[in-house]
Parts: sequence; C-alpha cells; structure tokens
Amino acid sequence: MIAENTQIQMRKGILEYCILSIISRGEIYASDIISELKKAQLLVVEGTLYPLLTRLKNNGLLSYIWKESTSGPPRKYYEITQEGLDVLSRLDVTWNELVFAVNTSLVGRNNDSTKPVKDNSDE
Amino acid sequence: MIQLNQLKTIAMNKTIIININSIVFHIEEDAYEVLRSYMIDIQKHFGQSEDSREILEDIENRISEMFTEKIQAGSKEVLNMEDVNAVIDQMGRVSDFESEDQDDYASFRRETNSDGFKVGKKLMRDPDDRVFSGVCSGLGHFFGIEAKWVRLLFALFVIIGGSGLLVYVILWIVMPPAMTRADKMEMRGEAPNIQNFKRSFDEEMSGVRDTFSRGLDRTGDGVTKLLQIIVKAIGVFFVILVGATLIGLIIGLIFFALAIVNVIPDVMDDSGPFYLMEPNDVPFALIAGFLSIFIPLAGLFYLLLRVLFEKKPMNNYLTTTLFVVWLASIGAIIYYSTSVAKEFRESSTIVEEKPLQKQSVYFLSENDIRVIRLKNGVKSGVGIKSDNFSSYLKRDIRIRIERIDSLQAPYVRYEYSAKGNTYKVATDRAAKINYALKQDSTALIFDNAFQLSEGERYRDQEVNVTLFLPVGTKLVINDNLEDKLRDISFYDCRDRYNKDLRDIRDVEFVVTSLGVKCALPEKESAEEENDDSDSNHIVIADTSIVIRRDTIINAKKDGVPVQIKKK
Repeated sequence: MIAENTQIQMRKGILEYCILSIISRGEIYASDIISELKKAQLLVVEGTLYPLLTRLKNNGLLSYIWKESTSGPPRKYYEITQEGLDVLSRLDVTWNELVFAVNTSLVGRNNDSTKPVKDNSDE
Repeated sequence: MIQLNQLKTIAMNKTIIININSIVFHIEEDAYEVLRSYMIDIQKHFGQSEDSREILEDIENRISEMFTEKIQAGSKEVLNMEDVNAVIDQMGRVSDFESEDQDDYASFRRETNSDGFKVGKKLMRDPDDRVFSGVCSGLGHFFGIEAKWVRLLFALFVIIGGSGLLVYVILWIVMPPAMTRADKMEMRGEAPNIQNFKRSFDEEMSGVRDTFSRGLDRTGDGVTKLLQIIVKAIGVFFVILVGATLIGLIIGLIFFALAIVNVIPDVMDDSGPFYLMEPNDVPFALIAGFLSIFIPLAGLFYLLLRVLFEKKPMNNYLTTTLFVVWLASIGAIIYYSTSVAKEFRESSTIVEEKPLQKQSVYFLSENDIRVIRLKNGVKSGVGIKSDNFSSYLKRDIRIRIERIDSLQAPYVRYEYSAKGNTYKVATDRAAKINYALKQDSTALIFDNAFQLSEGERYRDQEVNVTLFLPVGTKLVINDNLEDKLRDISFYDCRDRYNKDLRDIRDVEFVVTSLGVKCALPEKESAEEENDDSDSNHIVIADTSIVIRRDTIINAKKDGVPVQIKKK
C-alpha cells in the first residue's frame, strides 16, 4: 500500500512534467500525446489524460484550438502557453536536481539503474 | 443449409443506432449495453461540474473518433463487442483512473468544489436507517435533523386524526430509495467524488455512519435541548396512552372470552356484534377483532419506544408475520360481517288473528317473564332471573289499539316478522316466534318479552300486536305498558288526574269513534275515584265524607253526591 502510494506520487509528478515537455514541442492532439507517453511507457489509458489536461489548461499552462479532422469530428489540439514554458523551465531545473539526488543516493547499490525510481519504491 | 443458418444468426443480432458527438454509429445490442454502462460509470466518476463536462466531452470525442477509425479500418458498418472492448481498454476503466490519478483528480475536484459547484441535497429514502421504508430518515437527512424526531412527529400526526399516515404513504411513493452509494451521498448532501465515496465506504465498513447525526445532535444548544425534552415528554405521554389502550384491549378480550364461556353473564345479552353471530363463530370473530386493533396499536407502541429509547428494529420475519396475521384478521372480520349481513337480506311477516272475549272493560298490564311469581296474584320483588344464555329475551314488541264498530266482536292480530338470508329462512324464523297475550276475563296480560328458541340468533325478530276493540270499550292500562303503546299519550291523560303523577299506576281510556281517548274530561272538574287508598283524601266511612285537596266538603248521602266546591 505504501509502495503503491509512493509510486503514484512519483509517477504523477513525472507525468505532468512529461506532458508539458511533449506539448512544448508544438501543438499536438490528445491521442498523439498518448502514443508519445506509451512510447515512454508512462501512461496506460487515455481516460487518465483528459482530467490532467483540463487541469493544466485551467491553471493557464496549456491552451487548445479546434482543428478539422479528416476522419471524424473536429479535434482539440493542445499547445503550451508562455506560463507553461516558464513552469516547464523551472521543472527542468528541479528534474536535474532530482536526477542528481537520486543518482547520488543510489551510488553503491547493486541495482539495475535504468529504472531507479520504480525499483527503489518496490522494496 | 449452412448459409441459411448464418443468415439466421445475423438476423438475430439486433443493432442499435447511436449518436456520439453528432456522428451516427450502428452498434450491436450487447456491445451497446457494455458501452452504455461504461459511459454511466465514467459519468459517475467525474461528476457533474463544468470542468468534468469538458472532460467527458473529450472522452466522448475520442471514443467517436476511435469508432470511426474502427469502421474505416475494418470496412464494416456495425460496431461489435470486440470494438467496444478495444476502445474501453484504450480509454481505461474507472478503476484505472482511480489508482492512477486519484490525487490529481481530487485536487481538481477540490478547486471546482470551492467555486460554484454547489452540492444540493436530494430527498431520498434511506434504506440503511429505516423503520418502514426510510421516509423519515430521508427527511431527516434533507432537513439536517435526526430521523427520530421526524418519526416522532409522524407518529403524533398518525395519532391525531391519522393525517400523518396519508402524508407518509404519499412520501413513500414520491421519494426514491437511495440505492447506490452516489445516491446516498447526494441524499446527505455530500459531493459524490472519490474521497467521499471512499469515506462513505469506509464508514459503512466500520459502522461509524452515525457520527453524522451525532455531530448534528451535539450542535444543538440549550433551546434545542429544551425542545427535545418537551418532545420527549410528549412522546412518553403517548407511550403511556397507547400502552394503556393496549392493556384495555387485553382486559376487554379476557372479559369477552369469559362471557363466551358463560362465566360472566349479560355481556352478550342484548346488543353488540357477537349477539348476531353463530355461537361457534364468536371466539374466532373475537380474536380477529382483537388482533385487527391490537397489532397496529402494538406496532405504534413499539415504534414510539424505538424512537424514544433507540431500540433495535423489530425482526423482519416477526414484522412480516404480524402484518400477515393482521391482514388475515381483517379478512376474517369482513367475512363474518358479510355473512351476518347476509342473514338480514330478506324479511318476512306472518299475520295471525285471534278472537277476544267480549268485555266492556279491559285491564291491560304487562307481565315480566323474568319475574317468577311466588304466590298467585302477588307480584313479588324477589325473582329468579334466567341465566340461560341460549334463550335470548327480545323486547321488540309493539301494541296498538284500533277501533271497530261497536257491534263487532273484538279480536287481536299478531304480526310476527323476522329476517334471513332467504325468504324461506326468514319465514321459518318468524314462525318460530312464540308470543301471545293472555286473557283472564277482563284482564289482558302482555308478556314484556318473547323468547328466541334454543340456538336461534337475533335476526330482527319483531312482534306487532293490534287489538281491535269495539267503540265504547273502556280500557284501564297499567303504566308498565307505556313503552309498548307508543300511539297513546299517557302523559296527557295522567295529567287530568288530580294526583301526584307518580302515584298513578292505572290510566283509564275509552275507545271512541276517533280512536283511543282519555276517559277523563279535560282538566278542571275533579273526577270521582274509587281509589280509596289515596292519601290526599280524608274519608269518614260512616257518613261518607270525603275531603280532597280542591274541594272543601264532598258528602254522599244514600248515593246522591252533595258537593261544595272551592271558590
């Protein structure tokens, strides 16, 4: 239970960071975000994404525009705002600090270091 | 053959046309059911706020897009279960959202809660906290008061005129039961989000659900406490009232039961429902009548106790059993009353005429058949009353007097009437009535009652006696016949006697061509009376001097009256 909670906390923060990073590359459709995240093995289902996007949008980090689609209804394309870019740059700094912190604290452990976060919390 | 079978299976798959985001899809029925319940789950999960509407819209958009892709990729027309499951897997189930983004969603919910998203309470019945159907606890949740006060109020209104019962039934029909957890939270006015879901679930598990009402109770200040004490006092008063009624009912039951086995006489003597019934039915009818009143009252009593002292609800089986018994007793009462009522459907009358000995004067008097004369002609106050229950005394006797021509012979006509479920039964019953006056030269003696033969029940048996007497016949009527001779004005006639009304036992009448009239002239002149025992006279036997109240001297000499009147 405790392990699960920690996992969720960790993943949640990283998920937001990743989504912001993906969107910062340029305007993007929600399902494309999903496929990017899937490539990164982060997100399993799409339903989780929509509340997150809505929250980020409400906080002013994202905005969206409607675009006609060839295969169905008009799509929402998300793009990052100036505020979102500011937040992202601050998150970059934090992430680097975290990577350093985790790597430093992992030194001397005989574990597979490709997924330090997960393995650590699974203990 | 094989082709035909295939056609059949295809034909049996019903398709439904749905519209998601203004795009039309054909979908198989079973797949539709799955999709529908999935959408309902999602809607419940995300709630009703402005932002969640947006989320739902996004999800719907995406689902319709994925469906479009499926149709294009498979070059088919109809979506099946496989497609729906694939889409659901990709979108994720509610359980996936909960584990993945619980906190995220919750924080979002918290924000939306604070601005604008007001949670209204819903008026629903609470099936977890119920006496009958949870109406009172539902009202309690809605108005933020403890359910027991609402119950007490209802109980009071049921007692006072029963208006509460009607209101309760209407509310029962109108208020939906809070079946799902979301319903229950809406009923209590909590936002139906995950935290509350979780909390509600945990509370259900650990059984601390009562903290809600307790908390509210504690907020009550001095005034509400005083109010509570008053309400409680009223409640206790009603408990005592209902309890006393219950005890009274039990005493009544015992009393009637003793009457049935003849320990206490006279209860069933004259009137009341049991008197009309077949003796074998009486115990059952008595028990049915008792239960039909006792069970609802006992239920009310228990309810009051429950409300006041927080007793446990009655065992469900017991409640059901009592209800069934009550219905049965009501049924029995209806059965007995209709069967008794049937006995009164037809009525029959038998007429019989008998001659009378001709006399110029008749002395009419009543004979109390319950009084046994110890000595001939002497009416003794010491009588032995009949305690035989099976022979009932009936007093439905009326006597009338009709005039006939002075040359005709006098006669008496009896009309015996009775009722029954058929005309024949009624006639037989009327024939069984045994009543006749006795003539002893000038005396006409009427029994004060007639007896029903053994085993006969009261079926409106009546006797009308009509005396046909020649004009000019004198009648001396004893006042104990007064209530049977309603056509004759005793009071008027008695008034003409210059005596204390209470002293007049026999009143004299004459049959005239106009009917039965008082024998005395109207007032003023004092009539001679043979009644020597009267204390208002001074009688000196030898000289025949009589002094009355309104005469000074009344002297008789050799049969010639000399009278000096008071001026």
